[in-house]
Amino acid sequence: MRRRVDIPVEMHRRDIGDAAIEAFFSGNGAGDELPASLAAIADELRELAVGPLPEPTPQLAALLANGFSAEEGDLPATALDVPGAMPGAAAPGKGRSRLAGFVAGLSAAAKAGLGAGVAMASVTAVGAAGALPGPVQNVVATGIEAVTPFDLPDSDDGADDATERANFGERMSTDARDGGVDGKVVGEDAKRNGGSDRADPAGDAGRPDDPGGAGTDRRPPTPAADHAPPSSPDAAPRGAVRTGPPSTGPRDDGGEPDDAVVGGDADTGAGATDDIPAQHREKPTKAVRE
Amino acid sequence: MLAAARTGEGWAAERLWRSLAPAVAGYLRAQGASEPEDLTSEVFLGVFRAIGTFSGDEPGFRSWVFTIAHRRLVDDRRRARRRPPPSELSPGDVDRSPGRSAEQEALRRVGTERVRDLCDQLVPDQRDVLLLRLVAGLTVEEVAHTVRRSEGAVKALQRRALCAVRRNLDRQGVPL
Repeated sequence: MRRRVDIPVEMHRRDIGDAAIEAFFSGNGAGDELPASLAAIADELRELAVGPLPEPTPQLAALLANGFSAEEGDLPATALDVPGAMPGAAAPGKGRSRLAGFVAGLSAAAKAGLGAGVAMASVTAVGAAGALPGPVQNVVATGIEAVTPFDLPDSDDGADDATERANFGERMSTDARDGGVDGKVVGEDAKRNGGSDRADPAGDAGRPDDPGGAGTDRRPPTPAADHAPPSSPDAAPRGAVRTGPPSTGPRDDGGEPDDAVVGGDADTGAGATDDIPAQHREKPTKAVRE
Repeated sequence: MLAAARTGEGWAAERLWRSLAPAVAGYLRAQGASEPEDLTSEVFLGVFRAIGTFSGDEPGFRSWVFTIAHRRLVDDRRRARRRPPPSELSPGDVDRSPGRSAEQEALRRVGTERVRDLCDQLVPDQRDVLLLRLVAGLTVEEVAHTVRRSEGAVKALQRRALCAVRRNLDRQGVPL
């Protein structure tokens, strides 16, 4: 529905040219196309713009007298969505705007320093999580470990793990000879080493055929123990057998004698699975892996 | 001066205030703002609060200030709808600039009231465009940005506003 006041305007559309209207608003006169009374009204309106200086409020007066800090956002008023405002700075008073103002107020050198600091902090955080590429991770870990008490993951840690796994059989054997072996501890260590193998495709220290795990570590301290072949399948730790690749070799001992000596019925439940034929032992092995 | 104002220099802010505040106050007064002087101070507080985000020259800054003023005015109108209507303007409410006599002040007031009457007869969009062009001195493009309309719409509105004023003057018996 059209407003009543618009109807006569439409009637005058052809009376006044665009150029005359623009000249009128620009203060250049409108020639004969516009009446003098309109020019007088325009002059009166323009007069409003040169009126008296208003009295500022106390808050504004203080600002004019003392200056202000636009960067710190210490003014309560704000101007939203105004032309000339930079994107992202339309909500002063929020933390983001204050941060943007702070950064904008820094010198070029300070901005460069701030950027480098942020980048360093980011790399440090990712390095602490061990998520950097190998060589970069080593550099970051070395640098941080040199200046902090923290131990970050690096490639040496993986080597340490491999060494630990490689020495597992020897350590168990020594313990067995000393009479200080504990079946539960053996089972847990074997389980831990087997789990590490899954994470380290190159590591095979925990496999039954691994020379490092040859072990007579689970052998009882009998005279025959010293004569057992190092690579004999039944000589491997029970946990290592279950968590390593499936063994296709013969198992002639059934596991019972070993269990009796080294605690094969420890928490790993090795004694029960050793009685199962090798081809059926695959399923529990997978279950443990999962 | 703009660069100094951006850094928070009080003297620069005061110069900006002195150069633009009368026009802003006149615009708000012609628009019928309830407290034009206080609203002008509010506008400039907003201006100085956001001046660090402004980029441009002095004409652009003038347009920017009037954009803020117009939006403060819209807010003021919204607030005015929720409060009782203001009392009639009394002689004591008239602005008295230091260099003006009482007679000059009376003439100015008569002129202002006449202009106010004419503006009150315009629809709001036409009044906005007319006052932004004549009081604020903005271009069509700047007005379009301020009122968030297209330039074509602004040209149409200013044409209609002129024709409406012409018609109202004719009704009042003012010789054309």
